[in-house]
Amino acid sequence: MLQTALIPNAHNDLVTTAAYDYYGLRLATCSLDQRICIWSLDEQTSQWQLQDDWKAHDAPVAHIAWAHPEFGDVIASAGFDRTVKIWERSTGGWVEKAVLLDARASVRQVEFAPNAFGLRLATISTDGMLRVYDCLEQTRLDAWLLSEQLDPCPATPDAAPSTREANGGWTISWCKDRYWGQLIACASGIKAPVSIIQISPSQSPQTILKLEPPIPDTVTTLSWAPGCGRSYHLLATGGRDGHVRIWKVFTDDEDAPSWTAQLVADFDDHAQGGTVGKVEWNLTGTLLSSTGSDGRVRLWKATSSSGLGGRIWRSAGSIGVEQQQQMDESSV
Amino acid sequence: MRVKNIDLVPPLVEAGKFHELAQAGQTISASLSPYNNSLAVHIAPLEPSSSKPSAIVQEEALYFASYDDIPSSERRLFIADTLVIFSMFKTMLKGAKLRDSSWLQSRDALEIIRKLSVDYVNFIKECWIHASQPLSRSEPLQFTAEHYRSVYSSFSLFVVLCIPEPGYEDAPVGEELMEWLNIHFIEPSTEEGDQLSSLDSPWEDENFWPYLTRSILRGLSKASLFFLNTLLQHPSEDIQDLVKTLLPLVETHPRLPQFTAERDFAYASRKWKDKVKALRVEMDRIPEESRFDEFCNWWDSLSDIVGILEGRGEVIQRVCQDLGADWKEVCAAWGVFVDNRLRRQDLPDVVADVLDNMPPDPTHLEDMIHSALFSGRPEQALKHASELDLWLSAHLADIMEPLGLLDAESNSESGLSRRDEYVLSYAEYLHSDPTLWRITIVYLYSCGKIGEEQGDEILMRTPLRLDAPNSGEMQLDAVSEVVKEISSICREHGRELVRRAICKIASATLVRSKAYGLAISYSVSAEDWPGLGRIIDAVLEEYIQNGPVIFASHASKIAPSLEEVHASSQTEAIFVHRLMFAVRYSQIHKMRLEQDFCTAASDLVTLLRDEIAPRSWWPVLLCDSVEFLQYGPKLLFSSADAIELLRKLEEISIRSSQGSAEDYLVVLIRTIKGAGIKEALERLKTVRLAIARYLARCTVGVEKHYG
Repeated sequence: MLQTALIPNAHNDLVTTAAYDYYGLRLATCSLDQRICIWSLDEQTSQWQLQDDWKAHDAPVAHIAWAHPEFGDVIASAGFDRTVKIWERSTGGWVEKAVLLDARASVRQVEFAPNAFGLRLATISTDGMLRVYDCLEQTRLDAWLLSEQLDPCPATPDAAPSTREANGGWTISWCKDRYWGQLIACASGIKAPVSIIQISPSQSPQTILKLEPPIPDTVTTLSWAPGCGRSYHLLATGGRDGHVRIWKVFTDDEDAPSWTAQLVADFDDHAQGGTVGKVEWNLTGTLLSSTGSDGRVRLWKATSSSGLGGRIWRSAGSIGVEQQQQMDESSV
Repeated sequence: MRVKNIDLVPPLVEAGKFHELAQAGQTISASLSPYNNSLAVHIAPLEPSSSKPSAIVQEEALYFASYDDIPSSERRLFIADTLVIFSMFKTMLKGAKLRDSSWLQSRDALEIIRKLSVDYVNFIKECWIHASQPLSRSEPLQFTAEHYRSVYSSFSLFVVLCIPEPGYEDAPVGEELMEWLNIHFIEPSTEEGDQLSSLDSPWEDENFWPYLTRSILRGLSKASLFFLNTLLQHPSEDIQDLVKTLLPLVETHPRLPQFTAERDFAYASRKWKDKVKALRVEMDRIPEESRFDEFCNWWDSLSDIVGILEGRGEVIQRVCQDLGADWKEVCAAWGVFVDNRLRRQDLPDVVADVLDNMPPDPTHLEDMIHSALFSGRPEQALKHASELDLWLSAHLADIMEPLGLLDAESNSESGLSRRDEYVLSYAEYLHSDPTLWRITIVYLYSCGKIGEEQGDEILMRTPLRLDAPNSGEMQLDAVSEVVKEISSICREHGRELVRRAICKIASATLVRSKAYGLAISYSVSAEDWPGLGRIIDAVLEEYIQNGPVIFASHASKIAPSLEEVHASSQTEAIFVHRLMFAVRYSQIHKMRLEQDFCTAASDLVTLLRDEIAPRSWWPVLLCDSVEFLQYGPKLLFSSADAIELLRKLEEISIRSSQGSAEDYLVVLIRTIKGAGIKEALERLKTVRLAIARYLARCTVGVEKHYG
């Protein structure tokens, strides 16, 4: 574990999201300062250089996501101004191609579907709605059809919108495998279970499974691991209870799938500080990162336990931004 | 697993004070890079719901960290060199699959496995020697010479124990173990020997007896004999007499390598042991009071030596403890003196007994690997090896599986065999340096379905480097080297879907830099027909947006693609048709610009007559024809051609009046900026007039048509 680079003054306010492009050679960051920055990696020096920087929304920018490169240099940004914007890089810089205005509250996350399903975008906003958009004309990027709109976890009537906004969690993650069709995991609102929703062209979206932790709590982040040849899915969730959980999701019968979820790991390492902010899998789904308000980025890896045929998830290190006391190189 | 926790610089809070940031509404966040094993870290708002821009400007940093140690140049060299052996091994295993299932146990196979394993050992040795040299280096060594020595001793021990020379699997192992010990853990030291040999009466030195005993224990007959000989000068006649008997015994100690048949060796050993017993009897006759000299009890020391030669286990163990030698030495000496016919399969029992009294050092990974190998516990050895160096565990596991030392069955949960797990861990470490992607995928693609799919991800994320600035089409050919390379790797490993995915991305990227020719090639190669359609649209859009001159400049670039498309039997007809139009239409403009009006005019009519041109382009082509119709020097169309033009014009007029104007006129309208249907129809009237005049010229018959 070692530090490789630093951009001392990337934004003038807190960065809400940093998203690598498909190749990891560029990093898009968005911030409360309403701007988006695109940084590009100098492979020789391992340093990052500012490539583009512009004011993207009229409110803090909450989230940003890259489209698959077969659709060009395209990003989507979500703002607290209730809009989702589609941007494309042209010779002169990034051009706003479309503004999606359907959300009735701040949009918290945007994520493009796996490229096999075309140029599709899912968004989740604090009005509780999961929306899926399709780009009608890939070469122009200006027309987007709202093809699905649903409330995956309808709010309990007593939850006032204001507390819902303050205490809720809004997060989505597409299943990266094409084989299973279009699956999206989603949590929205307060203490709502994670719903796995199947989207198909022929029928309305179906909730095929709900992940229910032992004690219900608000899920703030989730991430669907790349399949990479595994016979089951892995989903990671993080919540306001400070727990990082890894779920194994599988079906016994491929023809008439009935889905089951099994909790395979549950870590409370972030619980000391409160909330888990983000969970994310690496490219091959072999390493999970989680961040929390305890101030540490934690990494998790699976190791096979000898003999029993099981797998045990273990800590693979952590990163913080505190003054160094001494290097901790303990062994377990 | 080694856990490492780091804090990034510059720090944002004092140690243990992050909660202060959290109270101020801040948290930490991170994103994992697909490029390598690194992540971007930043401070984020804790509750985005209350997120308003901060009142004051605060500079926010982005930190980057790698969670693996990125291989340094010397390490990369080691990685690349050993890949060669790994690949040869893989090729051998691939070949084995085509043969009888028992072939891997055959002498031929074992010979190859042994040879390649010895190659590994030699490579590690070279690396160790290189790392030991006091060279001036551009960067400090990432792994010390000591590290490579550990890897070297472990890998060679594995070869000694698990890959004996074919035919010698059942031969006694003691001598080989002692040889291994003498190579890797040299004792007694040469300096000590030099120092002692310079003395006139070395036995007076306190190191004399320990040195001599250890030489005997290690089977170092030359050194043993030298110092035993010095004892012939010892003032005690008793010693001299005993040494006179001992010398020939040490000299004639039967050692396995001196024999061609084990039976002879066993016979000689028995006879020799009898002689040692006789020496013991002789020794016991020395009276107690004569067993000392003025320095020590020489008799006890000599008795230890005889005890070793007699093969007394308890003596060997005690002597080793006294000498500071560890369990390895006891085990090796066991195989030489106690049970000189000790077989590999019986070694673990002996080792277990020895380890009971002299356990390995749990803080010393090398020792733990050695003890696991000695104990016949390959899985345990791998576990420790992976903590020492992922390279070691991966390459050991790779050989252990075909030797039947590891369960080849997949773990029900991970879907991975033990071997694959270790090889994948190594490959994952390699991904910390993206320039090693070629090597990374070789390891990944050797690990079944899971490895293949992980390899696919790495391969697909390898930057294609098509976006070199200002690259013309000629240069693009050079910059698409990566695509070519990845394509050939995909073919080699049968990863067709990856190849297509990459061609598709390459095609989309090239269209944006207007390299239409290459874009079409990649699109065809990916069999991405909708993508091909979009490229054709983009080419035709060049005409609409930028006019015929620029459009024509693309003609030569896209022309060869037509042949490719024809060659590819898979191409869907509709796209062949559309591509043919784009190519031929751009060629017409090229010919027109080169003043080759005859051919241009004749091709134009063909595009209309054979309906290669889509209807929406008819009006544009007809407008183009005006220039040819009005060409003064000669008649470019036959009257039949001219009538064909007229027929198309008629169809457009009639259909437009019937409400299909959009279908026919959409492109023409776009070329006349700011125009509508009316202007387009107006434009077509000039075509009608030109055709009428042309037909009149034909009728007069003075001019001749040059078809």
